Amino acid sequence: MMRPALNSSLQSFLLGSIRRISHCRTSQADPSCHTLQDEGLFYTIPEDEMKDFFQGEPLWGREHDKQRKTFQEMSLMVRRPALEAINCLKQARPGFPSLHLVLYGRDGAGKTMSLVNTIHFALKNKWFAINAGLCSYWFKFKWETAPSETMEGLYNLPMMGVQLLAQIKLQNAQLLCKTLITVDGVNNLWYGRTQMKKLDKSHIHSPEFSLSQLLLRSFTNDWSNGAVVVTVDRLAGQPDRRESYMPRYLLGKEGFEKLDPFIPIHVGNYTEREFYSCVNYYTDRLWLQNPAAQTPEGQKELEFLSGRNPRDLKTLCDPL
Amino acid sequence: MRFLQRTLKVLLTASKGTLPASADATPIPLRWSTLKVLKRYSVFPAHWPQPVYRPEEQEKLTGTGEIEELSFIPVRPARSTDTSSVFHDPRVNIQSNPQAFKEVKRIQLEKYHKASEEEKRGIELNPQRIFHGAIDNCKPILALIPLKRGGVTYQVPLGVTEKKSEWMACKWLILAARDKHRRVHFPQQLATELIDAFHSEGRVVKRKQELHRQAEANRAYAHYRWR
Amino acid sequence: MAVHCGRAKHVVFNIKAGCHLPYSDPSYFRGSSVRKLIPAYFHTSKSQRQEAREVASQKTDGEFRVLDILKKKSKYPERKAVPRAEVMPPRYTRMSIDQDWGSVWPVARTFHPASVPLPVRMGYPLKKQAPLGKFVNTELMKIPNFLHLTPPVVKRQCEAIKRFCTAWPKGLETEEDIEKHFPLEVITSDYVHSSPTIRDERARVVTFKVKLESLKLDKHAKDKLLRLVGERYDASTDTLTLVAERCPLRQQNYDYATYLLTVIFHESQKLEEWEKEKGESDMEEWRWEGSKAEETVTRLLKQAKTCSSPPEYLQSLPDVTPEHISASQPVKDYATSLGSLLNQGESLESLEQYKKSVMKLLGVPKLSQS
Repeated sequence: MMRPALNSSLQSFLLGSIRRISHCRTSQADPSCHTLQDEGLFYTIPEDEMKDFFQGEPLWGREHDKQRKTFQEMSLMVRRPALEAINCLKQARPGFPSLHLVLYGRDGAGKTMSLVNTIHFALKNKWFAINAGLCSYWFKFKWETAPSETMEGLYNLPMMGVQLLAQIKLQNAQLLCKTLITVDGVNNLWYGRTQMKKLDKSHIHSPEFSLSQLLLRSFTNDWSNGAVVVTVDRLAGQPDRRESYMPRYLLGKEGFEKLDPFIPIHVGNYTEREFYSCVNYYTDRLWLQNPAAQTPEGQKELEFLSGRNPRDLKTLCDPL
Repeated sequence: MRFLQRTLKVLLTASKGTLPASADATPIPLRWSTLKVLKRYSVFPAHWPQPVYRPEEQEKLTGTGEIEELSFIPVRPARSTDTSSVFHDPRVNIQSNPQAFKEVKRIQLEKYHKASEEEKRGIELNPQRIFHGAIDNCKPILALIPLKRGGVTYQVPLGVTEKKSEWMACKWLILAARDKHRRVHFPQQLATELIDAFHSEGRVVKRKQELHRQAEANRAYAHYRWR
Repeated sequence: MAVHCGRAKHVVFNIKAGCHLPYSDPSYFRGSSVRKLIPAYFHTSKSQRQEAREVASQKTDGEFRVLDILKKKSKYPERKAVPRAEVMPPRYTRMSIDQDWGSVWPVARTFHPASVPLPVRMGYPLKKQAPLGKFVNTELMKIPNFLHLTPPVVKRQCEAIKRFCTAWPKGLETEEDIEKHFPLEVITSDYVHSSPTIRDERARVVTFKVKLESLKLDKHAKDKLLRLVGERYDASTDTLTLVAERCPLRQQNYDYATYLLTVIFHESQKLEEWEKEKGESDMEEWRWEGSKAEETVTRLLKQAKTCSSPPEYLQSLPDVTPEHISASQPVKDYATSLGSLLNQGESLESLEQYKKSVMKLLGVPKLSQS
C-alpha cells in the first residue's frame, strides 16, 4: 500500500489536534430531543428501556449484538438520516394518512441502525410498533410451513409468526396511540424464491406467505395516525437483483407503487466528524487496542482503507 | 533441565564462533535441517537485494543516501503480506485471520468488565501482545529428531533454530485450534488457545513442556548427534 | 617473373629499385616493337599487375627485396565492383518556383517524391533522429494526398465549370434555410468503371433521410411512427433513414421509398380501434395522467383534508379530484419529480428532488438546523 510520506512532527501534532474531537458522547438519551448539533455523537439507550423495548431476536443483527455485550451498553450514533426520519414521524397525527419512509444506501452505511434509532423514538413516545426485523431472515432458511386456513393459497410460517407476536406483546406493554410498522430489507417481500417448498415440490415465493401479505396490507395509505419505516437492502434481495442500491430498482414496479408516495432518506457513509467520533468511541470502549490506532497516521489510514463506511471501519477495527 | 541449559549454552557460544573447552573440535551445526538438507532455490538472482518496504527504513536510507543505489538496481518484489501500514507486524499476518484477534478481545473484555479494579490491571487486552506472548511461551528450545545409529533409530535431542522454533509454536497452536468441537468456530478456538498460551497454560504449552521433558530424558543419546 | 611471349623471352620487370613499370603508361604501347609485349599484358590479371606495381614501387633503401613466394590469400575475397548506372537528379531540382503546379500534378496519384518540391518528412522517428525523409517512404505513399486540389487548380476548374452552372438559389444561404425548404435528403451513388462493363449493382440503392421535426407530427402520431420504423430512427440526430434497394432499378427504388414515406406518415396519423387497448405496460414513458400514482395521491389527499391540520395548499382547494389537485403546485412538482425519476432513471439528485416534492405534498417540514 502506498502511503504518503510521514509528516513533520509539528504537522502531525496539528493534524491530530484538528482531527481528534474531544468527546464522542451526548448525554441526551431521548431521540426526540436530538438535533443536528448532536450529529456524530453517541447516545446510550438506558438499561430499563433495553429490557422493555429490545428483547428477543435483536433487530440489529447478531454481530452487532455481540458488540453490544462486549461494550456493555447499547449506543447509537445520532446521524442525519435518523433525525430526518424522526422529524417526519413527528408529523403523524390522527386523521393524517400514514407516512411512508424508505431508507436506502450502500452496504454497511447504517440503514438498520437508523431504523433502530427510529424504533427507539417510537417506543419511547408510546407508539405501537410492529417490527418485522430483517424479513430476509424469514425467507432465508427452511422453516416449517403450513397452508393457511384463513387466507386462500398462502402459507403460514408458524415459528416466525409466534416470534413476531411475542415481540409485539413485549414491546407494546403501554396502551397504543400511534402506530409504527418497520421492515428491514422490505425489497425481499416482493421478490424472492425461498427454500421452502409446496406440496408439489415447487418453491414458495415470498409474497405467498400470509405474514408477507399482512405486512403488505399495512403499506396502503388508508389508515392514519402512524408511519411505515422500511429499509431497502441490496443484499437482502435475490442474488440476481443486486445491481444497484437505489429504491426504485430494489422495490421493483410493484413495490414502488405500493409505497409511493414515500420519503426516501439516503443513508451515506460517515462524515469526517462522525468517523472520528466512532473511532473515539471504539477507543473509549477499549475496542481499539493497537497503540498505532490512536495516532493521527493510524486514524488516517483507517479512514482511507474504510472509505468511512461504518461496516468496513468495524471490520478493520476488529483485529486492532 | 541442567542438560537443557548446558546445550543451550553450547549452542549460543558456538554461534559466536568460540567453542567451549569440553566440546569437540568439529563445529556444532546449529541447524537441525542441515542433517536433512532441503535446499530451496530462489526465483530471483542472488545479487538482487530484499525490498525495503517500511517507511522508517526508507527514511533512514534516504538520510544516508543509500536509497539512490537501490533506485538503479533490480530489487526482489515484496510479498503481499509486507505492507507499509502503521499496523504492520512482521510476525502476524492479520489479513489472513482477523477474527481470532477479535475473539481474543471479546473474551478478554468480558473478563475485564467482570473483574475488580485490582484484577483489571493484570488483564491484557491487546490481542497482538497476547499473540506475541503466546508464541514466545510455546517456542521449544530443544526437539527430538530420529537418527539411525547401528540399525536402531534413536530420538536424539537437538537444539532448534529461532525460525524453526517459532514455526513449531505456530503449528502447534493451529493444530490445537483445529482440534475442536464441530460447533465451535476455528477463530474462537484459536483465541482461547492463544489466551491460554499467553498465561502459560493450556494444551500447547503442555506439549512444549512434554517435549522438553522427553529431550531431558533422552539426554544420554545426545552424543549420537555426531557419528 | 619472366613472361614468355612468342619467340622472344623478355624479362618484363625491371628489377632495379625505384623505376616504374613501363606499361603503366599508355604511351608505352604506341611503338610496334612494344606490341609483342601486349600478350604479356593481357595474360596477367589486374590484381597481379597492381601487385607488381606496388612491389616495384616500394622504396627498399638499398636493401635486397625479399621474394614473396607463398602469397597468402587475403582473408576477404575480392569483391567485383558493381557498375552503377548513373541516375539523373530528381525532377524537383529543375522545377521553377512559379511553375504551373496543375500541369505537374493534374489528377490524384500516389505520392511521387521526385516530383514534389517539398521537404516532407513522415514516420515514427527513432531516438535522436528526425522522421524519415520522403524518398522510399511507404507511409507517405499509403495515405491519400490532395496535391491535385491546390486552390489555384480548384479555382481554375470552377471557372471552367461556371458557365454550365446556374446561380445558387436565393433564400438558401444557411443550413437552417435548406433544412426548412428541403427537409428531405435523397442520396444516390453513381459508379464509374474503367472496364468493359459500365454497370454497378450498387447504383440502384436510394436512401431517404428526413428529420422528424419537419414532419410536424402530434404526440400520438410520433409515437406510432417510431414504433413503426423501429431502428431506422436515430434519436440523437432526430433523423429517419429509409433505404430502398429491393428493386432492380434506381427509379423503382426511388418510387418505392417515396411510397413508403407517404404510407408511414399517413398510417401514423390514423387512430385504430385496437390502439385504445394500449395498456400501462405498452407505454413508452411514464405519464402522470391516469397513472396509479395519481390515484393514490388523490385518495391520500382526500384523507389528509379530513384531518385536524391538513397542509395549507389543501385547505384552499375546493374539492379533491384529479383535475383540481393536478392544478396545485405541490402536486405538479410531485408529478414532475416522479416523472423524471421513472423516465430518466434514479440518481441521488432525482431522489432528493422526489423527497422534497413528497415532503411538500404531505406538508412535512424540513429538518431544522437547531
